[in-house]
Amino acid sequence: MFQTCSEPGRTKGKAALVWAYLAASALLLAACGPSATQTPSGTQSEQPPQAQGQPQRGGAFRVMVSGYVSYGTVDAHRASFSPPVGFAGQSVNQIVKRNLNSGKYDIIPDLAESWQVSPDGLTYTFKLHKGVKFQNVPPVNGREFTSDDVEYMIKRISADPSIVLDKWKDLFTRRSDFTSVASIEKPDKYTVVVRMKQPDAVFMHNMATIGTIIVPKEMIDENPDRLIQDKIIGTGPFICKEYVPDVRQYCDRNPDYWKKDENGTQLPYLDRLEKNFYSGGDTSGAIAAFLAGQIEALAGQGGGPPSLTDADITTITKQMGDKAYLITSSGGNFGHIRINAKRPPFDNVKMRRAVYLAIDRQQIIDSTNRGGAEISALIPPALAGGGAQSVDDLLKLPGYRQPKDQDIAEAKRLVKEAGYDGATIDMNTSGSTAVIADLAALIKEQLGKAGINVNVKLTANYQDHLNEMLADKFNLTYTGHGASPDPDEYIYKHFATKGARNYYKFSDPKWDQLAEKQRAAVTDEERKKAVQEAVAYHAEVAPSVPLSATYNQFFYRSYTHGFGKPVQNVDGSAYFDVYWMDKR
Amino acid sequence: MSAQGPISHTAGEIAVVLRPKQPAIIQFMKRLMHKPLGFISFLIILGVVFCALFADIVAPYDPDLTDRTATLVAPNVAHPLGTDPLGRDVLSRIIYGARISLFIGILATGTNVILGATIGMIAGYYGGRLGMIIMRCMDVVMAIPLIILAIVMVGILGPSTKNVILAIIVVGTPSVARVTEGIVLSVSKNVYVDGGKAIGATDFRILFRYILPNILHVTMVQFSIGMGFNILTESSLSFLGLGSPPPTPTWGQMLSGSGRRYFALAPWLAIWPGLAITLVVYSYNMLGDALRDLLDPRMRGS
Amino acid sequence: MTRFIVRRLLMLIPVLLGVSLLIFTLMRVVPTDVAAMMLGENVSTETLASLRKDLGLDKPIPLQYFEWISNVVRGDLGRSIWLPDKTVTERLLQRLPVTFELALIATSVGIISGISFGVLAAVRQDTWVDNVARAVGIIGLAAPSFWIATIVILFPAIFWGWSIPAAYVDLTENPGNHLMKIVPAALVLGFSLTATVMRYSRTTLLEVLRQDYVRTARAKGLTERVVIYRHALKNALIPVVTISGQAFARQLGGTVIIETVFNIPGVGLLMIGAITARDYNMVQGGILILALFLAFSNLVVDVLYAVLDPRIRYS
Repeated sequence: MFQTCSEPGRTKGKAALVWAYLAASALLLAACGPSATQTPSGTQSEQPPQAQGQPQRGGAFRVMVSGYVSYGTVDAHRASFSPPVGFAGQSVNQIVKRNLNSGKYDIIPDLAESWQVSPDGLTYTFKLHKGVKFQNVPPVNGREFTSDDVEYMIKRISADPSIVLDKWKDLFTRRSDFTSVASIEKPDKYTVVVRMKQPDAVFMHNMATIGTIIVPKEMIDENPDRLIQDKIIGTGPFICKEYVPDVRQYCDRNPDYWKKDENGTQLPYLDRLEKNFYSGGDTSGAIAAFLAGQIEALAGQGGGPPSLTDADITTITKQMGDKAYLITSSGGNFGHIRINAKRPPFDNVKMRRAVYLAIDRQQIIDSTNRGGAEISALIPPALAGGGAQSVDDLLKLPGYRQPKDQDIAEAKRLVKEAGYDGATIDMNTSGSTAVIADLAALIKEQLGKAGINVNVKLTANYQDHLNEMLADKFNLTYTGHGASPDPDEYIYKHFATKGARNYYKFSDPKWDQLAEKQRAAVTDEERKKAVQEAVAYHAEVAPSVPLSATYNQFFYRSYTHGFGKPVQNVDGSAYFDVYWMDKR
Repeated sequence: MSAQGPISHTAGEIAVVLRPKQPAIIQFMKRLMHKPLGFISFLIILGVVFCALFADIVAPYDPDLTDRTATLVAPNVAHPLGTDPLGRDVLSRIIYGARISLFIGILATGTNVILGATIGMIAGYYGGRLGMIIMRCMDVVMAIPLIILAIVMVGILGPSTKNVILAIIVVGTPSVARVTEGIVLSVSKNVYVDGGKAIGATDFRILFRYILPNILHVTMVQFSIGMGFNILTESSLSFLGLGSPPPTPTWGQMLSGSGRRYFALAPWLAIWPGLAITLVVYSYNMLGDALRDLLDPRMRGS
Repeated sequence: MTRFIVRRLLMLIPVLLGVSLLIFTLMRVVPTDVAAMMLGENVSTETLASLRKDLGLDKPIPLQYFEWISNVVRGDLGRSIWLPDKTVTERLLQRLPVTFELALIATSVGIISGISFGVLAAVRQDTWVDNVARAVGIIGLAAPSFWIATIVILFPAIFWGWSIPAAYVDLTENPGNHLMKIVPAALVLGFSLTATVMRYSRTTLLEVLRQDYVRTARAKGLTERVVIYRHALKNALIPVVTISGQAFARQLGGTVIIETVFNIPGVGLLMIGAITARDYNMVQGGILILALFLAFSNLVVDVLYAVLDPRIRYS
């Protein structure tokens, strides 16, 4: 299920193609979702002991990530989902980023030392670090990073005609992210002032999200198509030397990296980073590699279902004992059943509600995620602070409560009222992996109890799934995407009429109004209220049935340190610049 | 394959050999019993066919019935082969899986053999330009590695039972046609065919009365071995996500799906369907070998 | 012989043209707008049209075929729709060596083990040796290769904390690690061939053993050993050469599955990605090249057959 990490949606293009890439990312590629402050229950989780002693220099850190990489773009400005970020990740920095190590998921400075927002929400001022140099690699050769580079980045992501060739502008799937920006001013080399047309509650999220990376203009201009191909340069801790699509990417320490640790020691500690890619969907090789000590860390396919099953986790834990840490955090991927509200039978809200009520989310999680997920409403519980309900609150609501008898009876009644009792309805899948097969079987059985007879139509892969969606050839389907730390993703982008990821073509005037309202909110309190309003309305009109929010699950070898608190690679790359090992 | 047919028999003799009277089936079984591997394989196939036909009676549970309280249960008395992650009974799914495996196998292989033999007979008997064009078309399909062509077909047409069968038919027919053509070419040269022509038999009559009996033994062997090969192809396509849609219990899907995913913790999920495939494919191959030995006139009496 | 080779090469042309037509049609049976696939949702119709034009997808399909095939004839397989920075030929050349290496080792393994089992079975026809040899040989044919591969990868990792290298390296870079990865994969793949070769060599040897010269040899009082290994075997094995071409073809197909499970970046993995992406040029080019190599290997086998068996004369 849940084939893609993060944002397959926006781009149904190359981006989505990389479905198999799933996020693998988890580790490197990062990307997927919000984190919880608490360790999720239901999994055996070992807290990594605090690193003993001083960080040591040296060593090669090896990981395996999944993907049919040759069929994905590596241009992170074009699509803010995992593969390009995995490719670029350790070579680049952002202006601001999500704090992965605090567990709070807040936005923290990266290349910006600090930033200020005017009270009316119309002016953002970023103060940049001084003396930051790009990697000493042609054609930039260690040039200093300045405010020009920030302006260039925002313009490139917005597919500005001065930067992006006209024929490729549609490939820039994030080009509407910065439409509320009125102008970018550069009072000096180290200050950037962004003026907005109207308040935009999502602006800082867009700045902190994974694809918003600083790359030098020179590197882009080198390529006649002005797209990022297989070379990446940035201000980041590692210089990538070799990239073979589908095979590997080797990166060496950037000796001139601008960051130092609190003792004044130059970062990064590691000498080398080796990413090996494995063929999509087949984790057994990666698991074997971790057990055999060929890699330092093992990521579940963050975006997909936990590809590390409880079976894998039990095996690895038993096998490795104290030689490995298991790290679990909320916010891997987010799964829904999508309902096509535009055509019968689901243009009838009663039918949508019936599906919403009849689905037994707990059974789905127990059987397919096996302890690797928690139930979720429109916005994953890990984001409770942002207006989501907690798991405990959810369990009291219709559709979520146990036992299911009452909800199933109600669903049956709705189906009868709508006149579709016993009707056969096609359901498309978003791929054909083991989990998807299991999930389809469960949904078929559960909806059968409500009198809806489901006929499963297998779709070979995520790309074909998106084609079916776009061609409006579906009634019912399930899909998933990386959890995002900002509610806008769930409310506006997926369900608003103009939402970039609304290829399920849901359209409801009241919904649009609610979605705009949360975007325009200036204070946090205002926004939270608007979000809660939208979430409540979602349950009423049921354009989708949120199922689960998976956990990120990783193993690290016990000689690796510096990865901090459980929260990893959530909407941003792991911080390899502070990783270190006491065995090499 | 040899292009030699039974030489110097008269048509009458052939008919006696290949369309024996009543007790011949018993004779055949007796002969088969001298080929222990072939005989055991024959019994296994009978058993599987029985399970497939009477799955409703044989299987202890509904194959699609989930049980949230008994997921990934190791083999025990209630579930002799354990349960899968949804709590479905693995034994029942394997028994029902025999049905779909045989369905795909028989439909696809049967079509392969009938279609291939017909094409081969036409090409071989009429020969000339028509025969050449037909056989060059077969060459085209055979020029592409089988499994790759099947993957392209199902990948493009979309995964479903229907398309899997279609792909297997397309990739499997040409080799049957080629072998048949070779035999027909040599058989047509035989005296009795000329004899048939001399007494004014129609082409149709010659093809069915004189030529068909001579290719039947090869066809039977090809059917048996083709069954095995096609069941494997189906499981390989399932492995790549190009099989029948869930919850259809196919062996390939059970093996490549949860079977591989839960290999470490619940090895029974992979072992049983894997064994089922292996056993059935194995049996069809062994039976094919035995049939070849028994039916090929050159081999008889050895 | 030269005339034979030339004629075979000429016969290849219509077959390859047929292959190109078949695969071209197949890729387009289900209409898919590749331009829309690349560009995603909110795209104007003009942009779609212009991309279609750039890709040449706006032309009538017969014309598309004609243009493609006339480039192919000139040796130009075109560029990948999705990854236009390299030509299809470049990408295939990058991937072909490892796939060939895999298929070649696998074929050798299959043929050597198959002949050994076949001879054993034939010499002791209908005894327990025959039955055991065939029983073991056919397991390779019957067990799904991805199943065996999974066990080969996971089993040692779970029980002994060792596994074949998960990451692929080139032969030139680290021959040890390269072979550690390729050889187990080739063994699994090759095992599936054992039964076919075994069966064939068993049959041919049995036939030869029934021939007059063998009877004569026996009548001369030669030991059974000498009769079989000196006289019969050589002649029996020559026909086995003929199926090695077919065998190689099958192994070449089987690499798709094995490359996926063992994570070996060969043509198979490339093709699977390309089919998913409807990357027309890549799939068409890849399959055409595979067909070409298959045809050549069959030709080589036939020539070899003639060289080995003096009775065979091609004209």
